[in-house]
Amino acid sequence: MRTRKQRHLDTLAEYVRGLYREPKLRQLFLELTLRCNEHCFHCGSSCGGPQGEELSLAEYQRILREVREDFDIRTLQLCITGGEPLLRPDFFEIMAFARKLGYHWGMTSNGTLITREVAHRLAECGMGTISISIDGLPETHDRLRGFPGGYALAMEGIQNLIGERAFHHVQVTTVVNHGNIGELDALFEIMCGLDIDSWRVINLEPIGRALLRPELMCTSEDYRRLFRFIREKRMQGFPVEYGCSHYLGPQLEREVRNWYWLCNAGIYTASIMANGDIGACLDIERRPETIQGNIRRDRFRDVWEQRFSLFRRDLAADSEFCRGCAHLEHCRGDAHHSWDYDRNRPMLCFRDTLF
Amino acid sequence: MKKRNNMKAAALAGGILISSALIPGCAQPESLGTQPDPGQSRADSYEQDLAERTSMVHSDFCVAENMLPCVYGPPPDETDFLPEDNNPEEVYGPPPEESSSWSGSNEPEQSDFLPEDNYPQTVYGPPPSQSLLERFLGWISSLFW
Repeated sequence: MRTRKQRHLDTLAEYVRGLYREPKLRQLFLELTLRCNEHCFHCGSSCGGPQGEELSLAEYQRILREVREDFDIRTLQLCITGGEPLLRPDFFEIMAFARKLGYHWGMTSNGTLITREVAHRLAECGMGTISISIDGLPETHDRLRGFPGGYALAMEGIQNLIGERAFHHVQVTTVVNHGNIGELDALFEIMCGLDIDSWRVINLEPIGRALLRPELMCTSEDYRRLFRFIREKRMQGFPVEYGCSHYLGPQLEREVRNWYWLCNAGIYTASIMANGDIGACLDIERRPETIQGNIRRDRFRDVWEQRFSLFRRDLAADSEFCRGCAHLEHCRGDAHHSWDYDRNRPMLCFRDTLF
Repeated sequence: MKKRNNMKAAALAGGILISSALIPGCAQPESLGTQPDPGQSRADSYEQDLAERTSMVHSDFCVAENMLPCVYGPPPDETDFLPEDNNPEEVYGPPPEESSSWSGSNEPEQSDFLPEDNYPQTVYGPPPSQSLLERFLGWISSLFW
């Protein structure tokens, strides 16, 4: 007899195939810059200095106008990311323009630049949600993010955001790796002292610069420990949650987060990169076949409607690695960002580790 | 702004004693709330919590709403979906520490548990609320933009 969760997952699998045919744009990511004042070893975008010519204020204004003409922005969330978005000198001009057009928007940030004044200006520009990175206790955080003093600045940024009392949701995100997983309990105590709305705890992904530090990838036991931790805290009523990264199997699904796993890339989510390239999820490896167009020569709607076929299919459909797997129907090959396009198999698979 | 739940509130409710030395601007140590009443078991608390919340839950899983509530917050509602519709008590089993026989099967026949914010739309924040007046004003301003 199938459990209710299994039946839900069956229903979801069928629904996803409908989304392949009729995708719904819900989240549009804008990677405002690849510049960053930190140098995180795990950065999925390998951020640092500027990489090529980034989109200008005028180009963002054109994009925002066109997207508003082509989509119902009442059902669309603008997701601002980088790099560190606040490093853009024209950041507030871009976001004020977005607000005037009626966009809802949220942002990820390292928090180090969020003074009281910046928090206030973010509120004035209509920011609804924000997630700030805290990747360990002070020494660990600063080391992992290559920025001495970064922890203290980020914590001040969080306090400034909370103090503004104007945002729908203030969140902290922690990337767990083999080196900092031992600090989870201490971090939990710190989070309990913050008036944040949720704590998102995610695992280090094999993307970007993290590929250069394989020794910091979580072990099987690390993963089990991480999910036990999240589940236990949630059972106790804490708003702790795992991200959207992976299918975790029938027991953990919807227990370490409030929804069932679903890779949104290309069916709910699209991205415009700092150089104008158009893709699905920003964490997906950037290679010719994953880039669907460029906003400097293409209208976003045309790309969304006519391309993206790479993302509107089950990854595992022709994967030798996944063939015959009992979880294929619900996992579908897992997430695009961790798919090995060269070997046609997932880089991370939790079968045999979690389920 | 109304807060549904957050880390600090949950800590207060649970009587967690926290160290705030690493939080700028906080005194150390800081006690958040009191320890749980030993006369009241956690199971009792869960039962009470469950009873309160199940009164709000009235329909089944809504697959169309099972979308990524990413860190940026979910998009605004386009349907009349109610978060209460995403019936969570059907998928949660009891907390493992409360039942040594917990199997993870999550069938509703077991004593269920509902976390405070078990709404897919609110994982990273509630949907950006937009009242009819706001929408009307937005529409008016769009005519002149």
